[in-house]
Amino acid sequence: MITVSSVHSAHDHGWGPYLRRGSTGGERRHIGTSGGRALRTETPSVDAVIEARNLVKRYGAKTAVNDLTFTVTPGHVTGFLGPNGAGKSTTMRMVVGLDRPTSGSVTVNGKRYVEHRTPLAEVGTLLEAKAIHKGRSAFDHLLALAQSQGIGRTRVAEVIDLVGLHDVARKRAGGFSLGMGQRLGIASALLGDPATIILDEPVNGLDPDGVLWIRTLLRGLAAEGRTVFVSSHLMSEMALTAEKLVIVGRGRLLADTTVEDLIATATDRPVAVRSPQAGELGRLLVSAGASVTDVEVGELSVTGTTAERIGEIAAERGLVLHELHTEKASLEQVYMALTRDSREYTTDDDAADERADQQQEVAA
Amino acid sequence: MSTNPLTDGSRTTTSAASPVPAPRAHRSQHRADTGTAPSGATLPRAVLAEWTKLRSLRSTWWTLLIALALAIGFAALIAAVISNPDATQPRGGPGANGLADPVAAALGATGFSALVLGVLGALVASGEYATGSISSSLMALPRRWPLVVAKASVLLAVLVPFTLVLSLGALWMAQVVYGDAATIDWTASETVSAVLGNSGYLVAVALFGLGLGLLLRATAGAITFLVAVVFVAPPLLQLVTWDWVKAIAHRFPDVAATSLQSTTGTGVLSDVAAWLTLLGWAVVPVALGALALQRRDA
Repeated sequence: MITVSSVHSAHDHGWGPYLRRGSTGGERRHIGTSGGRALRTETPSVDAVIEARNLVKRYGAKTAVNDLTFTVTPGHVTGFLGPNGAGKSTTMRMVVGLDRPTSGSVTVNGKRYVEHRTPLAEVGTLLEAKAIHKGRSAFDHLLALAQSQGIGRTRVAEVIDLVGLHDVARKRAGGFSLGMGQRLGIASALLGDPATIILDEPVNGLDPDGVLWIRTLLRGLAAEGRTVFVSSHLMSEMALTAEKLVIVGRGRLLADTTVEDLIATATDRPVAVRSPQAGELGRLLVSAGASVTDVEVGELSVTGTTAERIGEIAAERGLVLHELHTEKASLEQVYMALTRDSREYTTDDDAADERADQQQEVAA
Repeated sequence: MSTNPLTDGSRTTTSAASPVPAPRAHRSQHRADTGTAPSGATLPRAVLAEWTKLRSLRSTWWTLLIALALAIGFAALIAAVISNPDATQPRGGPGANGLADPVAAALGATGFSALVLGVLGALVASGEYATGSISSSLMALPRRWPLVVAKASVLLAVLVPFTLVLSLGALWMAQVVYGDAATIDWTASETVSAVLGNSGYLVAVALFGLGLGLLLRATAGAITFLVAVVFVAPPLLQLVTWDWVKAIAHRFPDVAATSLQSTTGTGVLSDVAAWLTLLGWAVVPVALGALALQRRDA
């Protein structure tokens, strides 16, 4: 059985234009309006755990989620990526029945969330940090959740130890830092020992230790065969934890793919050039139609042409090259290109920002 | 559409190669070890969870303490005023009947406690919205209405005995202050009925608060509405002489309360009408709140 109606292979050339940047000038494209052309790596639904079909959520005139279809499968971390306002949280809230879809449906383990007899044992969810009464202790908060499902008291103590909150578990949660709130949220997600775990921006507010802890935890949970669905607006974070990606922008599906495939589809990879005559070479390349960025003195990042062509141009003019290679496209770059038109707040010098982002990425 | 995924073997290897070692092994083993296999979100469990939530807030205990202190304090005050022969009798206030009905005078002093308990009821619902814990609660009970039933049940279970103690405490304190000026007949059926009626009023106001909290989802709004209905509207409506306004005014909880508190048969409403009025104020807003919870996005 195939879950999706519009399946595109990762190598579908129809996706190419989304990755190209700069060359089309200021033209704004509406991604997905022409038949939902989103990149998909196909997944048979046999082992699907979260299945969203044509999910739509409208708030008045604003469409937060627009015809979203995707599946999340067990055994790996699936990153749910998109700029702020892309509809990630709304989608997650629809998965666990907090918000009702305007149309479409979403199931977890083949049933709507509301139909599960012991929901917390099926799906563990962290939606917002510190979704706890400030006057209540972490222990009592978790105890009440556990009691509502028939989960034992020992499990409460267990998850408190697991997230490292034992020293503060009996204190009122009002004094918790954002990081402690996140840990508590993760404790409540794990409380029912669920097969499916949904976390909305779990690394927000965590210190580097905490971020590392989350990454290890998520990968561990996935390795146990659980379904782990994690949202983030940071590709750099997802690149380190996720194996599969569901990317959305303005409520629409942009890609449902694997990290590997996403990198493979990058079509506009920059070429790094190091030359003592970088200035002259740069001018030549620009007049040949390439776009050139100075990375450092004597170092260029060139797009819009190939390494071969650059080598030829340099040879024709007798210019010395110390280095010439095609960069491996970073996930961040692919993601930025993909979501370029979907970001909620765009400014005139957005393109400049993006170049800056890219350079940082290259430097790092 | 363009590619049949099942024929594209190269891609599916990605997921096939990912580690999926005996998916649920860890989980079932864990459950066998600790014997904590969760077995369903049932209504009794929801009630237990709501009890944990209510008792684990310090504000709950403070609220109850304040309600008790106000009831006993005002009972003493009013008893002192009406048993002082030199004092002018307050007109229209809780001690209006004065020594003619010492029970009603003392129970009338618990009116401020009604407000405090109404706020407690509102907070049980609106507190969840204020802190965002409503999303946790609804993910645990996605069918939603059991959450409302559980909240109402816990309020009932706590407040029925509590308000009986509070009413009796107010009477006892009044008797102490009355001294020889008035004697409460503790065993008279009118006294028992008045105490039960007063408790019913206090519990009804708390449930009314719960309904408002569910409907308005905000503490400030719920409390404002509560004060308006329980305290501000009744005396204002008394000023209007149109019959239909009077008919409505007689169905306010405050009127039901004074009718039930009376041991001399001077109430506006019969006991049955008064109890039905209280029932309406307790049940209808909670039911509407449950309906709203069911229909709205959380």
